[in-house]
Amino acid sequence: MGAKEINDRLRAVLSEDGLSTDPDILTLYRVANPIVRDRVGPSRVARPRDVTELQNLVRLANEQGLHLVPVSSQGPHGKGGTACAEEHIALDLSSWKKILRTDRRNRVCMIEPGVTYGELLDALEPLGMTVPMPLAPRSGKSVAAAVMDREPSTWPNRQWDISDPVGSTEFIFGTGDIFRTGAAGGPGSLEKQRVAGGAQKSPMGPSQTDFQRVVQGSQGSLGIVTWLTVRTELRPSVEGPCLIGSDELEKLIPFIYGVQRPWLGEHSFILDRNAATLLMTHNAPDSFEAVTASLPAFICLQNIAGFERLPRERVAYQLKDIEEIAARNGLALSSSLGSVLAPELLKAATRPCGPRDFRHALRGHCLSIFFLSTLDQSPRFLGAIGEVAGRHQIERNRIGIYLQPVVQNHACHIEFMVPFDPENRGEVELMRRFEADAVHELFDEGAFFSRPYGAAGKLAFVRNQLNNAVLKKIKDIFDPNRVLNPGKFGL
Amino acid sequence: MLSSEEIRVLGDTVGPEWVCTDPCMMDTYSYYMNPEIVNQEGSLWLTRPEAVVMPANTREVSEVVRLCNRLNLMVKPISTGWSATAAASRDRVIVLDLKRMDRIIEIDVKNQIAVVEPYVKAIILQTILWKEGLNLHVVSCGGNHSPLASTTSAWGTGLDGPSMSYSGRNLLGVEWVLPTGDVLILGSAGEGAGWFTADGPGPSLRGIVRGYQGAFGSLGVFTKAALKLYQWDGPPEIEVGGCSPHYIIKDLPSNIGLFMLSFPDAKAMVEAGYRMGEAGINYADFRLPAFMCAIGSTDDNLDLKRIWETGLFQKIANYIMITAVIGYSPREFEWKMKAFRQILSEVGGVNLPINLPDNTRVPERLLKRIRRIVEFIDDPLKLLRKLPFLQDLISRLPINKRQRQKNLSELFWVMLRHANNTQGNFRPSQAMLTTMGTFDTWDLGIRQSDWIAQKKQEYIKKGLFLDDGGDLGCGGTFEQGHMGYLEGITLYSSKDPRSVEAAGKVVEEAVQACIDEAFGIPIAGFGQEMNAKLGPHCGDYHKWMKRIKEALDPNLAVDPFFYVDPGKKTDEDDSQGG
Amino acid sequence: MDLIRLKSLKTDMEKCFRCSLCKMIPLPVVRHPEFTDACPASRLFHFHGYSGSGKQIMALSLLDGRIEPDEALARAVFTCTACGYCDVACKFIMDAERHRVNMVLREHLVDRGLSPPAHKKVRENLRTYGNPKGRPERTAGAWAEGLGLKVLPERKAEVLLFAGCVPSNDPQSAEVVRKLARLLLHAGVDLGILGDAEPGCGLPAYWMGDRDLFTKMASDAVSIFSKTNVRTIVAASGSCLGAFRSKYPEYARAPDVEVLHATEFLLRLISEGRLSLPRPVRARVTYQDPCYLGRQSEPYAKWEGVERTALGVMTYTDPPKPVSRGVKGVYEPPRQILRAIPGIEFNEMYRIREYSFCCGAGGGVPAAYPELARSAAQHRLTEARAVGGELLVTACAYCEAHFRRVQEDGGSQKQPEKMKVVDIIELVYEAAGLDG
Repeated sequence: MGAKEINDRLRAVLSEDGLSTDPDILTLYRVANPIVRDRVGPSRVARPRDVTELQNLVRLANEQGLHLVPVSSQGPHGKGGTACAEEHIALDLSSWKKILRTDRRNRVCMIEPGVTYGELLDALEPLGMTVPMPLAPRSGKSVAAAVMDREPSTWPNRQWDISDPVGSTEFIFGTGDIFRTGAAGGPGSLEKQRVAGGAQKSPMGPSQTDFQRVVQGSQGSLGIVTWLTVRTELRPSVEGPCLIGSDELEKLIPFIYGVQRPWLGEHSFILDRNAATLLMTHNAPDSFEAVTASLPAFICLQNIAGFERLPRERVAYQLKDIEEIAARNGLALSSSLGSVLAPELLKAATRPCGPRDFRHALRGHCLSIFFLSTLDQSPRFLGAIGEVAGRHQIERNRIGIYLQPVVQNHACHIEFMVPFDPENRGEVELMRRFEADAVHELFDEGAFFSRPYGAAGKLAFVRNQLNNAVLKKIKDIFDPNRVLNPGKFGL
Repeated sequence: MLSSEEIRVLGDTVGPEWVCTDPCMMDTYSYYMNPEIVNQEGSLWLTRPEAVVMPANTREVSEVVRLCNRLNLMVKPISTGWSATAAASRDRVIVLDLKRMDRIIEIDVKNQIAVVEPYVKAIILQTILWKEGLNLHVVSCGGNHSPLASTTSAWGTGLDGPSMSYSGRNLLGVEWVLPTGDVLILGSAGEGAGWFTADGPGPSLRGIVRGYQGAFGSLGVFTKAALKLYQWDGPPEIEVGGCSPHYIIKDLPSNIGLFMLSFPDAKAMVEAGYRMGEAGINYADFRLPAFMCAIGSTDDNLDLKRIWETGLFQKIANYIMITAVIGYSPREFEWKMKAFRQILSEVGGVNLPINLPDNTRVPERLLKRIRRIVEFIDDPLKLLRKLPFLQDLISRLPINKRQRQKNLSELFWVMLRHANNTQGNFRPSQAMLTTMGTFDTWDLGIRQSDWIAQKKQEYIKKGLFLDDGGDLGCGGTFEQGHMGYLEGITLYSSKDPRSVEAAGKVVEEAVQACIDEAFGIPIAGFGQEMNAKLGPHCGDYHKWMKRIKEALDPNLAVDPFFYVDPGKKTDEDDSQGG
Repeated sequence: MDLIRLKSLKTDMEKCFRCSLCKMIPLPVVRHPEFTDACPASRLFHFHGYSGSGKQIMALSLLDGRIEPDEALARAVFTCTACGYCDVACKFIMDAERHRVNMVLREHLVDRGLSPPAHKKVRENLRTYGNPKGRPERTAGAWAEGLGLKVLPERKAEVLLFAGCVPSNDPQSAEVVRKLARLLLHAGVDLGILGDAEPGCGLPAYWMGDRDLFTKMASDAVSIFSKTNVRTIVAASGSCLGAFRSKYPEYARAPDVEVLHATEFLLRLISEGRLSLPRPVRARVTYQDPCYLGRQSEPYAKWEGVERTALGVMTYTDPPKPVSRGVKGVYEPPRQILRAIPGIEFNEMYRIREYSFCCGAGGGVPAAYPELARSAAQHRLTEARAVGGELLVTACAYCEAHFRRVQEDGGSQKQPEKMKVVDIIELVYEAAGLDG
């Protein structure tokens, strides 16, 4: 079937303006990351208006052998999750922006995939709620895209399971079948479930399945989320954020373990001075040098908060307990370090940072290499990345470091950030080589690329071949015609 | 019956002494709790396996599974094996009893992870963990269950849910002998990176391993599991005195508070659950129905009968939540207790003074007197509700100190040590079943509990179930009140086939109610028959499961009964997807 | 007839819901991860049928006509040390008889000729010689040679010392009884013995399921005791005490005089000031609760009543059936004695009192299934070492001799350093300063 016929068939299942082939628009959907090779842009953009259209579109794709790459965030798309080596249609759900429900009693909300963090925070605030979120996401970042990708949040002790804060979901498999997971999985309509007292909050099920987990992390290759519920938290009514600085990471690590294990405090993470400065100066990159020079090598932000019940007393006792843990580790809590104030860092970390990723502000782009391990292993990875950087004549002090305990500090997101100039081909090439080398080195050191992007995309699936073989069987079940993001992870 | 050649090859794999086919021994693997979930006609006996095989390690498990592929046999793996879900479902099934696989592979104290084999029992792991200041979630069937089983393969709601979540959500890694015999390790451990996550890279096969319920051994054999552990601020070990059936803790640390809270109505109890969860106060909680309070307060059924007939428990214990509060530091404990008291006062909860009379036989005269008094008082706790300071005052009275320590100990055993849990409910009628138990909110839990309480009355009137007042809704909150759960217990008689049959029937009816009232997937909502019933109302999940089973188990080498049987046709079998 | 007895216990069997708590010590008292198993057979053989629960289910299967009595069933039933722990475990939560079902099942199998071959010989020995080992190396009263003790009933005494059958074949055990006699004489007790006329207590017959033989031996023994006109019988071995106090009343009749174990009587003498323990005994000791001195010596309480139903399907017994949880065994006297001996550092093991772990000597297991008997003893010795014990003290001739023999034989496994095992009487003797 020719392109025109395909377009006609697509227009037939989509509403007016539901299909775009305008090259200028298509460009917006290309992966805006010069390091990513094989960046085949989409041939079309499809914007279904509702679930019926979406389902029809997927069915059509099955019939016609079309490929769909779901997109929920607004551009620029920098990580490469939407990268696809084959001709494909960008399936844009970023305009699905309904916040379908907020439920203060059960601390949960239901949202469509295009809802951004800023929009959600605004909706939750009047109800005294908030949501754990990634470190200063860009304002176009879809909540659904982030949580379905298991992005780490800055609030580790509120994450019980790596799938949190995802509750129930509805998605469409590659087959075109619609499916609801968790408590929403049935029986009965959502309304009837609510009348019974349910809130579609549980992520488990239905029954002996947790297909939400299978779709999560699949970068759109197994299912397309049409809505999901997100676990919310009470919004702090009183906050007393603290900074703990040290020139030695090894000194901060026991402190984090000490605080995280009894769930003291709230938001908590470690940034090195470069990463902290990237975050704090993304609106004023010229001040980067001055700010970075004022900081110790590593900074831990530890928020302490009170909520609705006895908030000040809560902050008071937690502050004392945390101070004691700091003292036991030869550390002290401060309200500021160098030119960084704790409340400002907390604010920067827990609000959307603006249209552009804060990492990109300094040099125009930033290579991010991230993976999971445990916090105690992080110094080893810092050593490894330093060594690789040395091999590539990249100055160690150009690299930003972000350590984010996740799942109540049972694991740790470790991220290295290397800002670079995307217009400088030499530098782009260097970054490409560096990334490939670094990912190998880190992998050999035990880095687990649970969310594989870039060079890690292939490497992460090399060692555990049986896992791949089973994943392929699952892909055969949920997307037998390879409609969704084909080739992703070799599936 | 297995051929001698089949027995020989199995013996070559695990050692001949670890293969048994004796009928007497096989019958001990065809008798489990709740046979009615399989045998609707009321028989206590389930399918007798062809053999029981006891492998010692993953390699042997894998080899046995490969043999089953070759020999047209099926395996049914079990660990501690209590409920009927451990039974074989058909001929040509050999039970893999994993009792010999009882090693604790690793405890990563710093990162709070334990890697265990199938027969590591919760109480053993907990004993070790407490010394390290760590703890694990233990399901309500108690400390002698296998955490690997509850985490990978079964359900797992427990009283410590507020602080230690749900078993299925505590799985950080798994070693999985697939139905083909291949050994798959999920997540980070599969890459040799450590046992800290079971999800990824990319899509998570953990979502295939289990859902709200596990696959009950129908998708292969889990030979190792990494469990998520939690902080334990209680004592590293406990000094115990007393003797059976009342072991007494000598000293309860000052940072632990154990309470029996009585609420005037369901609404107040639910509200307390929400508020305490939100404030992060409760380490453990459990809605303890009145009849269970009465069971716990007596040592034999005659006493239980006499005390229940006074009507006292029905008046003071209809809405009881037992609750544990633990503080990391004295400051934290103080804050939590302040918030705790505030909540109780808001909702009218009473911290029952637990220096109640000793449960040595209460004289008939006294019982009569209690009965007469209770008849005329609607709320015997009214004064305590109005004047909360009286509660503390009574609790501090030096009278009957031994009894207070005994009652505190019972709460400790139930909530924190899981040493006297579900098993105690078997004493009155020797059989217990549970229904409802969908997992979402605490509000939903209470609705289900009400439904089953009403439904049971029909059977109670016919004398088929124990007349416990109907409401045996048990459960609690999870993850600091984020979720809630209640299931409805029924006490029936395993000796009376009519009662057993009624038990099977009420389970069916509860499942139908879950469909009609949109309660969710109930605790019994798994396995071939239930999935066929529920699936059409839940996105046809059973059809996806069938495809998964077919894909992972092409030779049907693992008993599918408690998952989905690929041999059974469903109405729209080939209409969807793959 | 035996099936009738089994049938009468069917309601107990049906109370098993396979929770497997019978395999381990009560959960509240779990302290050490290595020492939580409570059933020696289940610990070694693992298949569920070897556990207390397994035997209930097999008995039920037998009654339901699903299985026939055969050698496999006999093996499962007799590979049990009859220690009675499963009974204690179950009664922590349930009022069901477990031990009784196990024993009646044995009796049924014996009636069907399915006794293990080794047991047949032992029972024959008991029948012929009153001694499980056959014709004793020395006569029943030989241990008392030279002590000048009064022999009853020809002579009269207030207290009868019952030596038990082990000393007849075991010089070390004989020495223990001699020391006990000396202690009692030293305390001024008016003491007598039955000499060569001392009957066997019959406990091995009970263990091996020979109901008729045990009943006869018990009846005979009680008749002999009656003729002595003593006020008190003192049993040197815990095993005999269990038979007298718990099993005789159940199978025959209770002795019509006070029956005490040596430790109970010695403690009485100490508290009355008739016996003092002035000499320090420097040792780190731990104590093995013998099953038949402990949980299996809980006095038998006959119950005649009916099971009724209330609240629909709740069963209860009317009048209330006494629940024997094994907690009324002899636990405190040996401990009080150990604490009374100066110089002793006494550490408890992890499994004690009613939830003590069997040494493996009971149930006729050493004769028929020596690997099980050895495994139990070795496991218990490991526990004794784990609590820092250098001396394992017990109060039963069977336990003491078994521990000793297991360490001497060693078996196929590599053995750790031997641990000295003594009867508590030896320590009392030393502390009393009677050993010169």
